[in-house]
Order: sequence, then structure tokens, then C-alpha cells
Amino acid sequence: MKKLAAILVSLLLVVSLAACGSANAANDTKPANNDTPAADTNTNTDNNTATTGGLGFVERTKNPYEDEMKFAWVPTRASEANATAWGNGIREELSYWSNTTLNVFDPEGDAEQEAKIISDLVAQGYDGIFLQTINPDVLSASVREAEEAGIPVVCINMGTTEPHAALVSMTDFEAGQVIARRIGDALGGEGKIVIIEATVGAARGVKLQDGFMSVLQSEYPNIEVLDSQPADWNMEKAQNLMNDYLTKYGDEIDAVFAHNDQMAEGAGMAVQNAGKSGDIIIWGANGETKALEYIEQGIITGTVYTNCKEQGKTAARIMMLYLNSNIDTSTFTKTPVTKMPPITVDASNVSSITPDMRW
Amino acid sequence: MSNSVKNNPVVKAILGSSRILVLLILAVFFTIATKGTFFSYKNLVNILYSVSLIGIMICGACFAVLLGGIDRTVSGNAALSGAIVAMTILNKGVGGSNVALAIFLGLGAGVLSGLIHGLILSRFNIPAFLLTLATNEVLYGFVQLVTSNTLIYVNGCTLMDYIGQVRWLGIPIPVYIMLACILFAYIILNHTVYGRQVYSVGGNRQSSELSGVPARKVILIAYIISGFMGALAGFVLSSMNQQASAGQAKNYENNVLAAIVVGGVSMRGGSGSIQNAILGAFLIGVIENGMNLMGVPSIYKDMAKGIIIIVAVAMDMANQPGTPLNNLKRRLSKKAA
Repeated sequence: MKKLAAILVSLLLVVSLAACGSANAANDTKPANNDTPAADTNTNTDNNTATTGGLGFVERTKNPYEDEMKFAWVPTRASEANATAWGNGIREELSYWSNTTLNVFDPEGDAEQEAKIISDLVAQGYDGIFLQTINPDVLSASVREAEEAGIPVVCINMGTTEPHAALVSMTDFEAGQVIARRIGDALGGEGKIVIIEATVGAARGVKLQDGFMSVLQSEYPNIEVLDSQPADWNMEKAQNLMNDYLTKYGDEIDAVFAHNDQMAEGAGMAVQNAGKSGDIIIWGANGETKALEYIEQGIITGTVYTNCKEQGKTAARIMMLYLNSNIDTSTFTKTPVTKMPPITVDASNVSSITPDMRW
Repeated sequence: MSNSVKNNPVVKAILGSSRILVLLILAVFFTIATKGTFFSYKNLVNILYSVSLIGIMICGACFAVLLGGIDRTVSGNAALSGAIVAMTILNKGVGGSNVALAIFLGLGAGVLSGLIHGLILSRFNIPAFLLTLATNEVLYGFVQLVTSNTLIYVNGCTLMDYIGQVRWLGIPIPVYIMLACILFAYIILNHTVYGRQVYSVGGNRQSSELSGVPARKVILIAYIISGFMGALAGFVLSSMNQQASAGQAKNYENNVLAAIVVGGVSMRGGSGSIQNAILGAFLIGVIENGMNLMGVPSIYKDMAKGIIIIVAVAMDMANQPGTPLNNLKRRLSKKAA
């Protein structure tokens, strides 16, 4: 009798989850609704449909809220600020349940190493894996291995080509578009800009650049890109590159777009040292604490902020939801994606990012 | 070329050093290619600034290489020092004595690291490459512990703001710090007994010991200097960035070693000079800067940098008696004659 009741409850849960999934998917297609004063609502999450075609079921024996649960967080580099903020978010969310433990594994930017770590975690019988993939193709086989072993893989920011439990992502293409519009409007549709790129081939950098260029070319044809070179996400490299840009183009530069805040900060310092603070518009992306302080100080103009801690918490909630259901995530034919709302921050609304939101 | 021109010390120095020659050729090329922008005062300052951190590290790492060793922990020492300084200031405040304590602890960590490496390497027959490769990871592990993998922001520290932002005669402070370090290393290596002992032990440790040179002490001091310079570079880097991170200065040791090798310092020890090692750093800095000014797409940058470095090293080897390239050069000149 108890067994029958358990099966009925499980079925009910699965049906309600599926319903929630489609409801969320429907809601997610609406434009992002940010409650910060100058938040940009142009971005949307069109791709955010959590298709779970070919949904299968699996009998989970553990209760994730009561039984001992072991989770792993595998970022691309544990020493990066975003990775730490995501990790803190996951840890904070999981810490509500004393039966859970979270261990961090650092592949130090090496995709092969990351794939090996995932295989080891499968062998060690982890209950769930949080992953920021270095290379979607290299990691696909390992992620499949984990999913087939009944270990849901929830990716943060970048998933794999192989479907997996979920992807909780920042906006990148949309963020690039938003920044292009902000710069384009500030320049009145005419001017010259330079770009400080991410490491060549980095997926987030490519998407930011594509989003930025798509808007620039279609909506601001009179804005010229003078130069676009990589500084490998690195602050001092960006500072040196900006110094070179300033030497080469001098007063011609009206604005700078950097693929992350660290590089925007480097550019800001170079511009400040050249005595041109305030003359050149500088935009970054991510929303880390120092960038927000630099916006307050007028060293850089703005950034697209993402609440990384909240992103980590969201990933943890999704993980717990799957583990508390009988959904077999290895049967997914498409990865369900949820995107964090991008908040466009400049001097007018930077104070709305309160200290507890900063990372 | 007339004899008077040939005997001019500047001309002699240029012709005698392949690195200076390559630097000059590159400078002329980039000046033409960038329509003069390359050879402006502002740009030369940019180049100096871009090599300043690597330059400081070279002033320490060069000692280890001259001894036939290697110190890959310069980056780990830099990261640890920067993290300790930033964390101490964050916890204690930006008052003068707190900043002094922070710098003392940061640089002290580098000295301690150098002391440990020096003690191990001078007493045990462990390859320096393997030891420092492993301990660099340990140091980065400490950095992660100190920073908890978060960015440590330093706000309101007058000294660090000064180092990171102020310029004298339009030249950033880190450049002056690098020049002071070069002067220090130059004097130590060329005008002290210890400097001669470094070359002697690097050339042949056994015979040096037989002639009374305290090889262990020489090695110990060399790694302490290297640790100190790495830590100093880390403090300067944190001042430039106004923050410290767990991944700070990662892989800088590769650039440092590349510059030292390009500078003609023998990896077997005993020969080379700090001036040439610094020239090696400038060579790499000039290539980087010149290509940025020319707007060379990044995909070609590393390739071009590698090829130019190979050319510089090959030209250097061709001038060293006994090397296969030198033999080839002699055979070719004989044939031509």
C-alpha cells in the first residue's frame, strides 16, 4: 500500500514538475523584467525554452533533503571572481541542508583536465555536479557519462553540446547588444571605438562580440571600430593594450568596449593615467565589485551586471529539484536553459546594486 | 665602415650584441610601419611600463639561472605577496604602520619562500626545475587560502595608489622600481665578490667549492634574492591593479624565463648578464607593442613573436664559439672568402 502511495506521489510530482517546466519556459520568453531603475529591458530570453522531449523516469532512492548528499563544483578556474561568486551561491543554498556537502575541483582552465575530473567524480559516486565547461565539445562525453550514471549535471554559464540536466546562464549576446546601444546612443550614432577582446575563441567573448557588432552594424553604421585586440581577460594586459591604443589613435577614441570588467578596469586606469578620464566612454561586462566602484568614481562608464551569487543559488535549486524528482535527465534531448536577468548599470543606478548583491 | 666608426663604443656594442641589433632593426621597422608613432616618447614609456613587472622578476630569477638552476616560483611569490599585502591592508586598515606591516609580511613571504628553496636546492641534489614547478603550485594553493579565491580590493592606500597611478616626468613609478632593481642586480653581479661567486658556482660548482667558494651560501642567497624580487613584483602588480587575486601573475614565469633565454643567459649557468636578460624582456615587449600599434591580428602575433625570438636566439648562438650555428657560420664565411 505504501509502495503504491509512493508511486502515485512520484507520478504527481513528475507531472507537476513538467507543468512547472513548461510554465517557466513560457514565462521566460517574456522580456527580462528588472526592477532596478535604469535596467535595460531590451534583452529577452528567446532561447530559454526548457524542452524535455523524450522525457524518461528513474527511481531515485535518496531524499536530497535528508540523506547524505555529495556535490561537486567544477569551474573553469577556481581562482576567478565569477567562479567564487557562483560557488558561494551554490554553497549558501546547499548549506540550508546539513546533509549536503560541496567540494570544489579546479581544472585550471584545462578542458582535458576538466573532463578527467568529471569522470573521477562519476567513479566516486557524487550525487550531483555543478559545472562551468571550458570547452563544450571536449566535455560532452564526460557529461554524458555522468548523466547516464544518474548524476545530474547543472552547468553554469556554459554547457556542453550533449544535452544535460540544465544550464543557468548569464546573458552574453544580449549583453553585447545592450552595451552597443548604450555606447551608440551616448555617441549620438557617430564616433570611433576600440574593443578589448577576451581570449581568442572564448565562447562568452565570441557571443558578446557578436551581439555588440550585430547592433553596431545594423543600428549605428556611422560608428567605426578602430581596432579590436585580445587582452585575455587580464587587467594589466588590457591596461597595456589601452596604452597602445591611446598612443596609436590619441584623441580619436570615443569609446571602449571590454569583454569583461577586469579589462574595462585596466582600460579605465590607462585612460585615467593619460588624463582623459571622462572623455572616453568605457563599458565592461559582469558587474564585479571593483567595476561598480569604478563606475561610482567615474573611471569607467558602465557594465552589465549579473548577480552571480544568485546564479549559483538558482543552479543549486534546480539540482535539488531534479534529485527530489524521478525525472531522468539523461533522456533529455535538449538542455533546459535559464538565463539570469542582465542589469545595465551606470552612474545613475549603481547605488541600486547594494553591498549584499556585490561580488 | 671606417676604423673610427668601427671603434666607436656605441657601434661596437651594437655590432657585438645580436640582441641590440635585432632591437634596432625592429625599432626601425616598427617606426616605419607605424609612421613614427612607435618612436614617440609616450610609446617608449608604454614599452617600459609593459615590461616593468617582468623586469623586476628577471632581476631575481636571473641569479638562479646564472647558477645553472631555475626559479619558476617568481609568479607564485608575486601572487602570494600581493595577496598578503592586500589582505593585511583590508583587515588592518590603510594607516601607515599597517601598510608597513603589510609590505613587510608580503616581501617577507617571498624571502621565506626563497630561503626554503635555497636551503633545499643547496643541500639536496634535486633538479631546480622540478622543485620550483611543484612549489609554485603550492604557493598558488596558499594564495587561494589567503584570498579564499575572491578578488581582494585595496581602496584608499596612499602608497599603493602612488605606485599604481603616479608618474614622474611622465614615467610610471613601476618603471623606476624596475630600474632600481636592475641597478641592484647589476652592481651585485658585476661589482661584488658574491657576483663573481655566482658565475663561478654556475660555471663549475665542484671546482668552485674546491677553491673555497661557499657554494651552498651562494645558492641560498640567490634564491632569497629571487624570492624577494618576485614578492616585490607582486606588491607592484597589486598596486597597479589596486587589487589582488588568486590567479595573479599566473604563468608570468614563462615570460621571465623566455626573456632570460632570449637575453642569452645560459641555462647551464655561469654565463650571461643581467643587462642582456633585460634586453631580452625589451625585445619581447617591443614585438608585442609594435604589433599592437600595427594592428596585427592576434592570431599572427604569437607566431611572429615566436619566430623573432628564434631568430634572436639563433643569431646569438651563431656568435658563440663551438655551437653548431657558429661552425656553420664559419664554414659559410670561409666559402665566401
